[in-house]
Amino acid sequence: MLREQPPLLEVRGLKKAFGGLIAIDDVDLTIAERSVHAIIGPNGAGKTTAFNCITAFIKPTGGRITLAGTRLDGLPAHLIARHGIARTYQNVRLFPNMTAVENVLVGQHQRLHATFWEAIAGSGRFRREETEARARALHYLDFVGIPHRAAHLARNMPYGDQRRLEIARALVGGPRVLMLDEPAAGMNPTEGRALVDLIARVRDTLGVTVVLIEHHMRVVMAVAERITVFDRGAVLTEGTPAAIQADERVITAYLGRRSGKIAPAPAAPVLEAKIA
Amino acid sequence: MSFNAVTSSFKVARRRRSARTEALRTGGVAGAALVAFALIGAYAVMDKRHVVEGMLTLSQLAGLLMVFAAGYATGRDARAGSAAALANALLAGLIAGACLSLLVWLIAAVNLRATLIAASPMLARALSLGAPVASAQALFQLPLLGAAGALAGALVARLPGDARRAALSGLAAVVAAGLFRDVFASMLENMPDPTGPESEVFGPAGINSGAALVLFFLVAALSMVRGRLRRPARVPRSGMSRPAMVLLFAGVVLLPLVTNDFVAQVAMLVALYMLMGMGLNIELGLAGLVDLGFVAFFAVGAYTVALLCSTGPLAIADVSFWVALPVAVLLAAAAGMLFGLPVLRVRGDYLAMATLGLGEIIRVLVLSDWLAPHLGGSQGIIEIDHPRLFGYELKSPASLYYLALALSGVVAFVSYRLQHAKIGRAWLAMREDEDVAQALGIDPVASKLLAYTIGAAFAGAAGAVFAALIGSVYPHSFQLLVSINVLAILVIGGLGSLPGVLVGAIVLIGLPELLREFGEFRYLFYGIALVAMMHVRAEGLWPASHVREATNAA
Amino acid sequence: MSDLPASNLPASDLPGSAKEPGAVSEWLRRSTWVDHILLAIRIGVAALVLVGLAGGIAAGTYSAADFASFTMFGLTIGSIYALIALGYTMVYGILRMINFAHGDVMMVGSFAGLFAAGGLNDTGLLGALPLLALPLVLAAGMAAGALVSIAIERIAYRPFLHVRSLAPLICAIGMSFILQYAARGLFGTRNRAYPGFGWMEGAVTFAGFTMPIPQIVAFVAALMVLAGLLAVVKLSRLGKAMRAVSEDRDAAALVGIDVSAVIVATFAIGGAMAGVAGVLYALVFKQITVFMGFFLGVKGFAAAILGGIGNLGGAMLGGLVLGVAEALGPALILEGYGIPAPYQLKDVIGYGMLVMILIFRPQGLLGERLAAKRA
Repeated sequence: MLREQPPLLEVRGLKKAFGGLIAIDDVDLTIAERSVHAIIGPNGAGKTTAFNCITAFIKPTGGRITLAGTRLDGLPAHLIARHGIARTYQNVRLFPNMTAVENVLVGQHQRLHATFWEAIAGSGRFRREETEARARALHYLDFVGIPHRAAHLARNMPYGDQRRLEIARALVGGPRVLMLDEPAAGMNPTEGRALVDLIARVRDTLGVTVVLIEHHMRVVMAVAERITVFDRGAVLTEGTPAAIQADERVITAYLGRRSGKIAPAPAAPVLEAKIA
Repeated sequence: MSFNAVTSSFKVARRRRSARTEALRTGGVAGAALVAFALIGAYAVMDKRHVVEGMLTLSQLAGLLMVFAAGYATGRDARAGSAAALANALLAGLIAGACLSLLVWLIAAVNLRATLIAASPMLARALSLGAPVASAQALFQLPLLGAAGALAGALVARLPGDARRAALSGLAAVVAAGLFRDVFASMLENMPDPTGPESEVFGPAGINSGAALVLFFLVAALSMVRGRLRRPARVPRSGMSRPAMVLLFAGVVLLPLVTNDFVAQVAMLVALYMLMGMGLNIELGLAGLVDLGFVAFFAVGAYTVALLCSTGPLAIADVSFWVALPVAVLLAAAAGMLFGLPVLRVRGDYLAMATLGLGEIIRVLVLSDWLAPHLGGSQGIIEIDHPRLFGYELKSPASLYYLALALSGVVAFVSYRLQHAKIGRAWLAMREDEDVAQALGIDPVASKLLAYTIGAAFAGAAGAVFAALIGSVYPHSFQLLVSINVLAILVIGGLGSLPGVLVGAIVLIGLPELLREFGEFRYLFYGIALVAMMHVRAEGLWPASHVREATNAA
Repeated sequence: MSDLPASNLPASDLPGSAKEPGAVSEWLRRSTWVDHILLAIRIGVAALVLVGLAGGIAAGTYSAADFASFTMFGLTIGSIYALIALGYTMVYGILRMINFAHGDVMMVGSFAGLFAAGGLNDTGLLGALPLLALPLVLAAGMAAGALVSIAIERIAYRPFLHVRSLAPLICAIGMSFILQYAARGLFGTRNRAYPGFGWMEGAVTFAGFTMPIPQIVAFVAALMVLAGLLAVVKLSRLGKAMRAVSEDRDAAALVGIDVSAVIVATFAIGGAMAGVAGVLYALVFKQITVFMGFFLGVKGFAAAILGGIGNLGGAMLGGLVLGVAEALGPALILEGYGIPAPYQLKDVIGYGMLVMILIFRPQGLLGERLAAKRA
């Protein structure tokens, strides 16, 4: 069913070298529209590097990136954002000295069109836009479940709410793809379930495609339609959650190569163990 | 450039010292400050000005305040009991005074003048306070005075809250009245009653001693009453209350009317720097761009008006100021865009250096023989017409003050509007975290360029007013120091805060102008103010609202 | 489970099937309006320099001997720039911050040298032991420079080490003003003349070129001091600790390096180098003022950037290149445009180079990678 969706985001032969160290090499990704696609893999496998390359946070050494047929590789980060890729960060990066609403207002930068002169003159369009922007900001805070935080300074908010605020800020610009870097990190199981629900709503209500890096297998298995496994800077395999759970190579990648002493166990329990 | 982003968990531990050691240290620091104050020549210069008529000169006051502060700091040390704290303060004051005695003895015994030009017999005489130079009496009275000053400081520090506040406000009122005698005396002079109390309150240089006493008790009593009325209200850590704000702005508007031309001239300068300050506030306060070449745009504005409005030989046109002003603003903005484009990809400290280089290039070019046929070289351009409004020539300091003030108002309005629009939020976001802002679709170069261009335009407007005010322009007026002045104003007032610009301009431009004895040491004071501000109150005297919330919540 | 068969991909995206666009059109796709303008500026500056150069050579105002003496002078002032640049580069290497007050450290060193020389002169030592006097004067300059530099670290940098903000920069600007205007109050505004060292008067003629002795002395002394510093950084324990702190402050602290002490030592060494620069400057130019430090500091910074900030050898190279460019530029390039009194615009070349390097090659000639990321 998913295969019939046209691919929205395509990455071909992505490569990044830091000096002599090759962080990722020849990575291919195909993300279907309106899907939730998870990227997993052991630490240092190059997941975040791939994210950073796609969003031009760092400059890839090679490869091509296309979003709905438009080449994105080589463009500066703000143009990539304007083409419709929004992201969050592994270690939450909000504007700490701005309130939640202000953070979300900044996220609307590309949606506001009143010019500089209109802002000075306080034209009708400017005022209307500002009112709408504020309403939209509140709406998105509500959407991610933190309406009560609107007037709080970002840096004074609890960690889980900061993560939600970051998602609201990314969503409010109206992206086609939302890239989440370990959104469940530091969350307890209740918060994890709420996150699964939120991600599903992002896809179903807003129609936004979600790509996420995640270590919490419970979250991944609950929400992802396809999973790509990274290992040592390359794609190890890709498939449905069920197929990945059954794949022996994935377990080897997580537990190390020389697992000869460990009896070959069924895949699922091992992954479950990882979750706990 | 992000603020407060932790870059390293490495912290330097502060050594803990005993109360006694701390007191000895404080005394030593105060002594070093006193000696430095004397050796840079400030003591001798400021000794000529009386603050309290016939009793206390400015330099004596400064010296006393230093030991007072040392005593106050020692007295605040909660670890020591009252008696011990007073004894410690006494010790600190003795040490501080002894340092100064040592200096006097050295000056009398050794000829230091080849090295230190201020170490003159005149200084030794001034420091001997009327006693024979470097006599035993002269040498002993300094430590005693120091001890007395420090003891007073410690006593005040040990007073209960209300009384302490009352004593400090009384003291501050007397010092302010003495220091800014000109402002207050001219206000009293302008009172409708011709037999006003001016001559009784103020002497030719400072406040009279009787009046000082009355003022001290009056203000102290007022402070007590105020304290009783608003018992639970803790003094807020930041900013001023709304009534204070209204009062301040009313004072700003009425000032030249109730005082004399000299004060109006100073006010005019303050307004001019406010104009520039608001320009740099867009660049530095909102967008976080450290621009040390800011003066170049001020120069562009001034030279444009000079070339367009002068009747001198270098003029290329002779048009009205009101035509030249928009041209000056536009040209300054264009210069900002031209410079900004390449420079703005550079970040942080590098940007400071790059803009500094650009500003200096402009100054060297204007000074050069190459451009002298067009810009007058070091001779500058003279005979610039004063602006006319409805047939009335804006010539008096007061009228030019209102011109600058009106322009400041416009600029403040524009700043305010931009700050609360999409672009203002983009600037703030970039200051907080440029990479994340870019990932949200903000074009960093374009938004920085806009900030830079607007800042330059405001500076151009200030330059235009400056040219009309002085009636001539010289390259000498466009040194790096001007950029530093404006930067200091913003830092002292509070980065990103519009009222902060006003406060900063008053403190850094107005007060030193009013204290003419201060003139030579003004930049030293700026340096100390910048350093002290960063250590004690990095958010400024009147912080921007978001900073205020952040510090209150913390 | 080779679950990612190539047949799953749209045919057009298979490697090799798409036509590779040409280099120019690929650049056009990737570049933004900023890149276009920067390219235009690059071409414009290059054209300006080349046309000026051609004009300058064609004009033939100066002889080969003139150019030789210009070059020698350039190398001398360049070696002084290099010594100043070392302080910037070392502090930057460790803290990733620019010590804005560094130029004024050099001024303080210069004055300390002046007073030391004055003292030696008064006691007659200067005449008696002329060769010993110079090291003594240099030592005074180094000591003063190191002390002031340590004070700057203490006041402007140490309290703000754990947060990244504008505070150190603003504090350092404040320190720069305190040093300048305190020195002005202490020592006065008039120019101070250095006493002559007797044997340093005059010039030597070598292979037809005449070179003033102070220039040669300054150049050689600068090279020797630099060699000594390189040896310290490359070979000593302190040097190793400095490099470790520069790589990762936290990790260095974890393995037991006293990070505070290393930072202080870095400032001290940089200050000492600036002190040497101050004394050598005074030997060449004979006169010093309290305001000379600031703009020489900016030149030193330009040299540090030119060579690649964080790179000691680069600082030396940058200083020499900048000095020679300033010395030759007016005669070679500005003369070509028939600009009157081209040496008035010497600083325009220096500052212009600073701005151009910052814009187009922030990593400098021999730069480290980090500088590129930061700038």
